[in-house]
Amino acid sequence: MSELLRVEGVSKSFGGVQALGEISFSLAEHELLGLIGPNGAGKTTLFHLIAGTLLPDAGRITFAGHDITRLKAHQTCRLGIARTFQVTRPFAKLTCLENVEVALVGAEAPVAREDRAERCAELLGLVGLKGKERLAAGQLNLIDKKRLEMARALATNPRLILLDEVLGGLNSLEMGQAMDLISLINREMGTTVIWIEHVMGAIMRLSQRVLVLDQGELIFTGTPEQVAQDRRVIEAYLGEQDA
Amino acid sequence: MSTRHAKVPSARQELLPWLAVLALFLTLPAWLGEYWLGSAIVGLFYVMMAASWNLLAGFTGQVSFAHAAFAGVGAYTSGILAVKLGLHPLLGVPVGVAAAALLSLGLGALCIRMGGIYLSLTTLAFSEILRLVINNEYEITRGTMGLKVPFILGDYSKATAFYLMLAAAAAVLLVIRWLLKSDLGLMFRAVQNDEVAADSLGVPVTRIRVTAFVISGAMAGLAGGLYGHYLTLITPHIPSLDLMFLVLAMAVIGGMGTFAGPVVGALFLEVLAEYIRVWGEFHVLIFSLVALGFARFLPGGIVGLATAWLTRRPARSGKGGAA
Repeated sequence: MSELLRVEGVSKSFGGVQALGEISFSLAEHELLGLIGPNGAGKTTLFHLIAGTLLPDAGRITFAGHDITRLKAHQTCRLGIARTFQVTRPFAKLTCLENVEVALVGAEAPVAREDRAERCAELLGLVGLKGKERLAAGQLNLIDKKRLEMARALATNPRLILLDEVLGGLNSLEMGQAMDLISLINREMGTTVIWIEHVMGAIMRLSQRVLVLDQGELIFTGTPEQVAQDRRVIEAYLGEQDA
Repeated sequence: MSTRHAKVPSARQELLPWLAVLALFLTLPAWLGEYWLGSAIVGLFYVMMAASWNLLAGFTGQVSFAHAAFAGVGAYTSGILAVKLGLHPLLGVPVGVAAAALLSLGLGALCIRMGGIYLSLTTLAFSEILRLVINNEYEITRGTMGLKVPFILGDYSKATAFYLMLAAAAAVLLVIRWLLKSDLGLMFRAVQNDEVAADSLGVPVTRIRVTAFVISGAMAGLAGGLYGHYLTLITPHIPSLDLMFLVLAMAVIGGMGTFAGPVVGALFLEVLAEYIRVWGEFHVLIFSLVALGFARFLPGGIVGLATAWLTRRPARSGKGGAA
């Protein structure tokens, strides 16, 4: 498999606090990579840096042969990087349909103007928002807002999708549906995924490889089985969870 | 789970009241009388100002205080060209529009990245700088004395000025309507709702905001240019903060972020201003206080209130029927 994303020695500080220190890893096309770590480990910051919402202090990020280190989010989006937000960010006063339409137009997705509404409805159906097309996004409940984030991200026609805790707050039925969707995105659509999650069972089941962050350091990389047995990981993270 | 759907009125439903208003306005010169016709012309100037300011503040969330300044740029550019070079106002006004657009682009590119309160402060400063320049460059602008300029078209006639203003106002509103329905309008609203999300979905936020700023500034330039050549005396009142806050009050009281709001607000306040003219400059103060009240307690303005009332009624009668 060919390399899609490479992160080399990337660091980011906020004031005097180092959020990420010299992180390096690479990601193959079609891979599903799990990203775990305790709260404040720097997972979301890493997403901000890859997507271009924030710029790194040092290091280099390349995506599909482009140096995207200093690119803004709208530029990385057009190259094929989409994301969801941990704290959902719907366009509250726009309808669900319009929310997805913004992504189609913004990312310059190859969809003809007259086919747009149909494409939006199709994506909303895919994430389980059928029948809510004309509802203002601000009126959705949290779970539906997370679904809308997924639909919008998919509308940009991404090669790499960054999912930030899409399972948080879901019940077991909804969690199953969301996992089916992630599996579909990765296996059927062939989209590469990096997935931040606190629900260990889910991430262990779907990920091919797992990265563990702790206090801004990359402490472990390996298969889900290896991660579950690594002592440092258990100390930093799993131990507390399972206790 | 609430089930209130975002309303989508049909194009015809929306157009009908506007055509009725336009038809009524077309007849005004026949029966309104000279004095009130003058008031109607001023009202149309304010419609253009408030609607274009609302395009910026109400639909992209950028509160600019340079809107009256851009109207001043339009008025003075065209006026000076007419006085110094003898350029016909109908050619001068477009040059004024271009000048306002160009200055908007410069100011926008410079300060829009800062956003929020910084944009407001920078535009406020720009507005004051422009006022000082106009007041002091006496040789060119005739300062506070005012610049005597030719009437817009042919011999002085309020009916001519009125129809020109009406055509311009209708054109400005049509362009705004079209914009809001276009992809660009969708981007405007996305940026206003959530910049970070819009950015992550491929929307070039800064460029979208500058575009809105330039379009809005150009429209102010058009309004100012036509208004100046109607008054035939261009004074620093056009690019003043007094006028700026009046326009702001009109948009807020009418209903910011709604299409009809600024139109309703501008006409309502202009008519009201005629009745309380005896209070002198105090009427601006009163409008500002009322606008503050609206901003705090009724952010949807008159139009928001009317829409809520109209949409709530059927629901209420439905409940009554069931009981």
